[in-house]
Amino acid sequence: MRRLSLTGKLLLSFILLMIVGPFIPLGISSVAFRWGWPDLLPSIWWWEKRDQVYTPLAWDYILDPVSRIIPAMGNTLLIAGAVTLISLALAIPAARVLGRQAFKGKSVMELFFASPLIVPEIATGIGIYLIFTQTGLQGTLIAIILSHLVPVLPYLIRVLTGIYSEMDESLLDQATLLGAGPLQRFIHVEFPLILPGVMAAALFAILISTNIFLLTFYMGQGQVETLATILFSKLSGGGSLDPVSAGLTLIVALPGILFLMFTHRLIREEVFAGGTSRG
Amino acid sequence: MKLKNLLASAAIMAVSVYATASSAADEAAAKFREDFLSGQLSWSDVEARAKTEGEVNWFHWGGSEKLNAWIERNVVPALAAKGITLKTTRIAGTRDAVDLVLADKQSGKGVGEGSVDAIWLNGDNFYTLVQQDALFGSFADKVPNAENFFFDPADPASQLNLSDFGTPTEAREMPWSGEQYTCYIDTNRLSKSEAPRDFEGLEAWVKENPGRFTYVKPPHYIGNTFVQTALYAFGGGYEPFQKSITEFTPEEFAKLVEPGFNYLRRIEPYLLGGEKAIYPQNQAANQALYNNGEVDMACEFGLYFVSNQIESGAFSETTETLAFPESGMIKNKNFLAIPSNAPNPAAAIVFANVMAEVDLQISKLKEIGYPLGVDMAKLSEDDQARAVAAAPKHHGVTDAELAALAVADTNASLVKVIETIWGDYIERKVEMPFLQIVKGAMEKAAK
Repeated sequence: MRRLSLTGKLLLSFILLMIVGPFIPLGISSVAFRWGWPDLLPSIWWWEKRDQVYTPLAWDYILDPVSRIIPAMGNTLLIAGAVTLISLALAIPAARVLGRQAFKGKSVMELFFASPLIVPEIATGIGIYLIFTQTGLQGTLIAIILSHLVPVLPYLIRVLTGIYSEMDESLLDQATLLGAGPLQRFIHVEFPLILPGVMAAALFAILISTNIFLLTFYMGQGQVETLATILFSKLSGGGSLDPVSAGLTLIVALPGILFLMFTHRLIREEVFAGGTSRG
Repeated sequence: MKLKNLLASAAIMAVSVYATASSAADEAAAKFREDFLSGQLSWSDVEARAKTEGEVNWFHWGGSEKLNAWIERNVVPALAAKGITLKTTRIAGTRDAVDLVLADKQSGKGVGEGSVDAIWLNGDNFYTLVQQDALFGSFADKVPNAENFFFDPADPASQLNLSDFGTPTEAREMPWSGEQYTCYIDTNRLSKSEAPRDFEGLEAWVKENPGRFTYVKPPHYIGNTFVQTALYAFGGGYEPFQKSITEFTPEEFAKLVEPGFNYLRRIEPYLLGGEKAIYPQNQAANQALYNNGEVDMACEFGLYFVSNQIESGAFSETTETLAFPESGMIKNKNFLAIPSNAPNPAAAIVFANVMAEVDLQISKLKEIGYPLGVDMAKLSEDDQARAVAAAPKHHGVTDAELAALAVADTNASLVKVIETIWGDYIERKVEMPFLQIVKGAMEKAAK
């Protein structure tokens, strides 16, 4: 690895601090019992008190079934997984055409696909909710999954369009010349080529879906609990960050971090690094 | 073509089967409601039906870990013993549950068909359900544990059970817990002897210590209650505020509340933030200001609030409750209401009865510091002694001091008017004669 200059090092540590920094007070707060002004560190820690009080504290509460965080985590992952699969199935064909072909009205089409980014979530949310109450879907997981597609799809289409427009078409032609049918060609040549992009897109989908509060709350009528809705109802009281909220915030960040850890090599090498060197 | 016809008739059949099934369920529930409310059912009939219903959906504010844990450990097993599964939905605001009941009602769902069996509420939310005719009926005085409450209108001790922010309860909700509006100080920063005892004292103190106090912003109920307390102090106590808004002319009402609002305007420049006074949005934000040392005194509902906060580590050990103001601290009860479209009405009634059991009430007081909802004087001597022993320790005040200052809450129909006046007169400082503002607020409330 190339040695970094002093400014490079400073810049790198600054960036690291920006990423890791916010997690430090969260981590401390999640194991504090009393952390009030003007103490720099908690004056009483969680483990000093955990056997003395009736209610489970901090992580004891989070891990206790009473907090319902495990089922909420299950819901969150189920929703995120379904949203990712469905949105990929919708975004790949769209990106395939947008990235590889020029046609009349393409820019209008692109604008249309990006429109959920421009229209406020609350406006689309109310509209979707009205349709769901008419069809009786409100309050179900399906309603939540469908509504999450709206803010997720624009990002996926953008990412995958970029991948498709950079794809070397001659590889596909070679496969055709060698006698591969359209399906074979897609499975054995095209899909492996876009796989890093698919992974990056999936990361986007998971991160966005796990963080959506408003649509989840509307469509689930406040009765389907996800990590985002639990955290919101905890924090909507406003003001102070108590140990449970802090721990919960750390947990909410978990799905994205886990996915990134599993796929980071693939994404880093193939898309981000590759993309910049190619560009 | 044939296939299409077949599909269509199948769909019609499915719809009609569904319709008859649901109206049958509806009828059974409706008959139960009628029989129970007219006193034709024995308690064992109710329990038997509750067992077949098998579950009860309770919507409650879920922001407290203590409360959630207590429910899971105590209420869930108590109901399981009666063959009922308790399903709780933790909501961020009680309004959400009320909205759900009303939405269900609007889509034509009657008794036995909705999604909410019981709601923990009081005041405005109860008033809304009364206005929308969305309550199951007078059940609370017909259950075995009704003996733990004063329900006789002739007895003044019944006041807190019969009137919820001035709205007659008519036993349509079961008293579950009580609260009193209290203020608290950090004795490290503000000594007990210097702390204000009444509103004049508060004014003198904030003038000397500008920026060291604020109150939650109306229309949040915590803020509304502070405003009401001030209006009581300058408007001749709580009695005039028990009447409904329809009993006032704008002139009378303006005369009643103007001194209190003038006071609030007078102290505003000395609140946190000075000329641009900062009113926290809710009690948690107010607690954060207090905890961060930005204010020395804060107010909210909670007879045992200070002990609870010290116990959970949220507040410093030097926090004390203040018997403020001497003109009267608002006290009320909160309740369990059953909506008119409760899917499991019998289970909901059994649930309300279980919640009024003395043992559960004492455990609630002891473990999580929620005051008794049952009336002390109705309990046996033994139970009274247990309740006294179970009560959390007060910091800086005695039970007797707090009880002596307790006064009734404001009529719910006045609350809306008062919060509108606060918005116009204090927050926006509308350039209009006070009477005009009151007239506007009363017109708005009448709509």
